[in-house]
Amino acid sequence: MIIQQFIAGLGVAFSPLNLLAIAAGVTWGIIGGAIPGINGSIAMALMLPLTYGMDLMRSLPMLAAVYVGAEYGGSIPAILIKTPGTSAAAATVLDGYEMHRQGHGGKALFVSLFSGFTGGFVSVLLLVAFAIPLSTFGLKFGPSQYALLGLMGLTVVGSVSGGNAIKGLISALFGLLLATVGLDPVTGVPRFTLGSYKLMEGFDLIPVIVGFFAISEVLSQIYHGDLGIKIREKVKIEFPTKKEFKQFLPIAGLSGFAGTFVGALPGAGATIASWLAYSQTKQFCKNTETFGHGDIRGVAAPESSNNAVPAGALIPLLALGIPGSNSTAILLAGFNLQGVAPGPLLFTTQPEIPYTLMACMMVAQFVMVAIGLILIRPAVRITSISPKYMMTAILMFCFIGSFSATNTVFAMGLALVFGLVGFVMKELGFSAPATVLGFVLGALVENNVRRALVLSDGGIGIFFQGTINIILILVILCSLIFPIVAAQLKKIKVKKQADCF
Amino acid sequence: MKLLKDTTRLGGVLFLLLSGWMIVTALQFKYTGADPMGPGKYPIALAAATFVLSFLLVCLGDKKRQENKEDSEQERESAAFQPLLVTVVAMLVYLCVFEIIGFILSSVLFLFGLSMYYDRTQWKIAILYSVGFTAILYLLFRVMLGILLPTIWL
Repeated sequence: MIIQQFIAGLGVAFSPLNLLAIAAGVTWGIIGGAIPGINGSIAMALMLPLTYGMDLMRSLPMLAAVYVGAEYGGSIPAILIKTPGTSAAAATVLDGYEMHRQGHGGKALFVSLFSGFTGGFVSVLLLVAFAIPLSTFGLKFGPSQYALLGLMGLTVVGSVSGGNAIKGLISALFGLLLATVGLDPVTGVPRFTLGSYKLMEGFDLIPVIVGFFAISEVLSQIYHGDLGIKIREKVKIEFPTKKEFKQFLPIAGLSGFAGTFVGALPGAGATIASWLAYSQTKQFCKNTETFGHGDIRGVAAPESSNNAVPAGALIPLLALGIPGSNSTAILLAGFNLQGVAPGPLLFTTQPEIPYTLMACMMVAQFVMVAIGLILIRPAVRITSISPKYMMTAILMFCFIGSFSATNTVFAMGLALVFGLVGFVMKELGFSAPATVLGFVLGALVENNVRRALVLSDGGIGIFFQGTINIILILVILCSLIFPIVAAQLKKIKVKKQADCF
Repeated sequence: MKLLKDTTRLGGVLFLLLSGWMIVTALQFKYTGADPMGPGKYPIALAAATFVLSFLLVCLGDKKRQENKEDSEQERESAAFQPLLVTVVAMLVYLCVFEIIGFILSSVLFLFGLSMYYDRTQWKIAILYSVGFTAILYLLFRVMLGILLPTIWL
């Protein structure tokens, strides 16, 4: 049954228009990921307005393909100019840049591409294997479980966002509060509309996402005078030897497992996945004294792992409807724009949607290899476009994208406002991505909290009943307490070290 | 002035004020129906949690700030207020004229103006870029996606 559905999904994925959408997504993802300053979430945020008028089976694969492409794209500047295009590619710098210095930059790029493909391929297989059992388990969830699940996702992400857990949690709560603006979904009473009819429907997703992700980032880069870095390197792909293939391929496969697992955890992301894979490979492999000096395995491990994260992150999104990262929050926004709610019911009511998305993720891995090999030189050239043009282009794209959502200048104004708010939040050390996650999850959390309270006639005891609820509450408490405990342990360690000296 | 330099406390104060305003506003929502929660209780709960955390932030401050004082002072020295201000003003002007003079003219002027502000010497490239990119956006949004963009003649 699963295989049949997946094969049917592959049939949809291989249709010419879908292939074109996936190719466009991967291409933009690679280019966006390669430009330092634009990460996967920003690249997806910029693509989101374009998907507004598209068919569901085209828009979601395109967004997912951007995610896939960006994770590879970040390795290009990491290898060529020691500057990761995305934070997840930071681990690739260690050996990738060394390989380039030794004259093997083309080989490092190929290993990065092929390892990324391997990790992505493994993770899609795991996605197919685990999404369905998890979604079956998710069918047991009621309103109180969903509300706690949403809160769990937010507290975990909020507590690891930025350097301060309190700021991260405030950011997430701010997102939930933004989601309450508009007409109350149950009673129809206007909330925080400031007397304006334009806010009756609340804030549109696109201005919030492009504002907080893209516009705020551009403003931040202008403010800090960090108008990007150009890649002036010439590049040519070089194939590894048979011996080198045997060296890095098994590591790429295993790192794919690690990346999938990390990707499925809320709050963890490609950055953690890539460093985890790098450190574990260094710990458990033989002859690791060459790590950090141009070892091919040092490129394969983090690249495979960070490319496995997109499919891994789709597991909780498709199975439970909960995004665990910025990029999957944008995917959830993509679902919402199309009027579809991901979650366990989707596998029973509209199974073609999740299976087609999984199949498209698989196809995206192959498309990434093809495009990565063909377009590496043009991609490098595009990243060397003057940053001032790149920044203004991004601003224009954000504004027109916001306009396209509601055909009003008001939406463009909102994007600017949220861009400014996101910029100020960033400067003050708060987490704009946690706010966006809170906003995207806001409706889900509120609706389920209120449904649960209706079921229990207003009693909050319903949230503490049942094993699942207790586990979710424990995870929430752990994510709130863990940063405090970790900070105290670090203080004790530093004090002990100081005492030793 | 001290508060402005302490970004953590400043952030805490801002969110304290915002959440306080939201609590006061939510208490004024009028509802007499059967729903036990009503329109106000949920936002009040969220705003109250934000208020408490913001208060904690204001009280605790950020201990790392003292250690990173030198880094943050260096960062502030390299911060570019003027380009930021000019960019924000340009965006505001763009939004104001967008529907008056239409998408094409406003976008070309916006892109050209900002490009020239950042680098006055490359005016030919600035013209090419502003016209070319506007054309690309027009093709993408108007022609391919069918979005009705404002024009000067409507």
